[in-house]
Amino acid sequence: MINQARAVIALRRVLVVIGLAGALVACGEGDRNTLSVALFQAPSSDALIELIPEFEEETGVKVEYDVLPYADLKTKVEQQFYARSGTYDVVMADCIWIPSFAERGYLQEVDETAWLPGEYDFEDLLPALDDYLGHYPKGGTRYGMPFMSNTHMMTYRPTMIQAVVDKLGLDLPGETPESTWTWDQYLQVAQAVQEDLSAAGVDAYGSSLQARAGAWLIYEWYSVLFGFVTDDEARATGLPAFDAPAAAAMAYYAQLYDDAAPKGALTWGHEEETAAMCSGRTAMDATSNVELAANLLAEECQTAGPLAFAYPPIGASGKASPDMGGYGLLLSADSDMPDQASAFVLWAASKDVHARVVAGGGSPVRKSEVRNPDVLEQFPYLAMYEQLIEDSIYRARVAFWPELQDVLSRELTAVMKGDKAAAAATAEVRAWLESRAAN
Amino acid sequence: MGLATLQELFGGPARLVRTVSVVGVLLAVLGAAGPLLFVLYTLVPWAPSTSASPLVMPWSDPRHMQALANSLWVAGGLTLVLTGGSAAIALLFKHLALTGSPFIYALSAIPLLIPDFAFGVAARMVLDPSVGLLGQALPSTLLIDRPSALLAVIMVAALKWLPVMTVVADASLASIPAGQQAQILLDFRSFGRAVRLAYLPYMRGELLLVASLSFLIGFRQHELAMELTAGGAGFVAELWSPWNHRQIFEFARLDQAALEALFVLPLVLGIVLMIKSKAQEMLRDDD
Repeated sequence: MINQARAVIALRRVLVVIGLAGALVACGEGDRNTLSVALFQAPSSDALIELIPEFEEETGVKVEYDVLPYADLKTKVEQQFYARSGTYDVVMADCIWIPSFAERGYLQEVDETAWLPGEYDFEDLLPALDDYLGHYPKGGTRYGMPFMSNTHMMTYRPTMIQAVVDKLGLDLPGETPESTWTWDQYLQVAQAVQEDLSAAGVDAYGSSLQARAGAWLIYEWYSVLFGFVTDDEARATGLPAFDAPAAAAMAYYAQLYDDAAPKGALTWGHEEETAAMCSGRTAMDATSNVELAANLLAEECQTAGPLAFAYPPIGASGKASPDMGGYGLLLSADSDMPDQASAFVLWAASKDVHARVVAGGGSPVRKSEVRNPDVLEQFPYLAMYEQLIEDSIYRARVAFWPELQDVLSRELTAVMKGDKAAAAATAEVRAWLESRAAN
Repeated sequence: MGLATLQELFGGPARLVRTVSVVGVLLAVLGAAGPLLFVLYTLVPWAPSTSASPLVMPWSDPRHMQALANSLWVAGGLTLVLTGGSAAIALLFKHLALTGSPFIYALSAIPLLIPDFAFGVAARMVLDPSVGLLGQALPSTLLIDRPSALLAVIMVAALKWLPVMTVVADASLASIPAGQQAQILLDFRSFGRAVRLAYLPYMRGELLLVASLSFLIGFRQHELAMELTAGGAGFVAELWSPWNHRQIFEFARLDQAALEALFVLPLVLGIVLMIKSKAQEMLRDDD
């Protein structure tokens, strides 16, 4: 009988605990003075987190945040959107996710008057970045604010390339479109540097790359692609015809990889590409990420000789084509605190707050930031930034971009490995696009 | 001795106990069936992203077929390595009189405590020709080309799972009754003959269990493979699980991912059940 009584008491306790847990969950749902934010793990986010108490004090709204690495961020945000759970009121989203989120109805419009109404300085935002990271479609609804930006520039180590540059009768690349190299000149120098390094038995390479299949490879190759595509409309949409110029861009990239880059670059992403420049393993990088360039200013990156920065190469179009990237702070359609969430994203990208984010290691999104003498002293390469963003192309703003990127990755890699001709690879891409359109 | 009823065990509250138990079982069944129900839910109403027939779609995408083939290769390879490896090590322990050692059993659990992604990252730090500790000594395309990248996944996954599989194989030898063990020693002067004619036949049931588990472990490889090879160059070595994950979370094609899972899960289960039925058949022969 004693055992029976104990069993009953234990069962009752379990039921009470379950009941209490349910009550607590219900209480939690009712407490809606707290914004939940999903942030990408990056210096910009770290700098913002330091400032969040100011927002909380000023508005009385508490902010909870998760800081997540790239793949986890996408997975968690997608899970929330699929479940329409409203876990996050604000999500920090990579530029290439925005069209898909918007077209599936997962975002809601920002109330532009929710922070500093009438005084908020939208004009100071770099226009191309604001449009790419805050709106969808181009010039359309504002779903968020640009928060973290990226594009390409050229990085090189003069001590590793000077002799070749002199031999070829060139100047070192400059910081303007007029004084930089062409893509052909870049390849020529990379090949010649590689020949010299190989002849001297040095384990180093002419050019750094990031050719890991997926977003990494295509982010980089798109910069080369628009060096070959001259069609202005394609430049404006980010979606060329994938015909002869695209095939030429694939062939160029494959030759650069084959002649002057480490074979392992086929699994490299942003970090490996930048680390190879830092260590002196590679002499040049035509598509160096501005977002990570602060790392290249470190003392340890100068031991193999000082690094220099230049404007990216110019293609047949006569314009440079660095590839714009970055992250926006976007409003979830499932948020039931849209006013507070709007206020938060506007606050985070506001002139005063974002300037401090940049000072804390973030990347700029405003004109005032890239014109600030203190910022330029700390990050000298940002003197080119306004022009770089203006000249930047971007990956197609279409919902099916991630899958097109997958197809492009496979085809381009096949060309790089010598398994397929560039013309056949672009034909496959066209066929995929046509079959997609037909369905 | 008959089984006690709930009434006998709990008296008056037996009804409450029964209700709680039934609810608990129902919740457990729902939990287990959840993923399958979710798969079916995503297919109703059928709103395909292409006009192809749902019966054809999973097999018509070469990317899916390549990922499936890659996972079957890894599953098959891991099955061979773990089954053969665990048997060989268990027999070596037998030869060295280490069978059933609690110390070895405790050590075997350590790799299981390390997450898959950590195994993948650590292996990449060693094997990556660009940065790895053994990089200079290895082919530059080790983690890039399909055969070598898949082989690398098999070998690194085997490092994680071989110790515990060895414990299973070792346990079969440890469970030989003392009398039978003494008889084996009397009957066979050479250890090699004892292995062939006594120990291996004795281990068959456990080794087939190891084989079926290894197949499942191999097929479900995800994080370890992603960290180690990143899917190889142009996704040539991408496995089925990461591919299915990307279908959902990268391409937002839940319907496609659900269909593929619906077709692939029975395939994998069929292979595992085949191994299991073979094991039962052999055990019956032993009896």
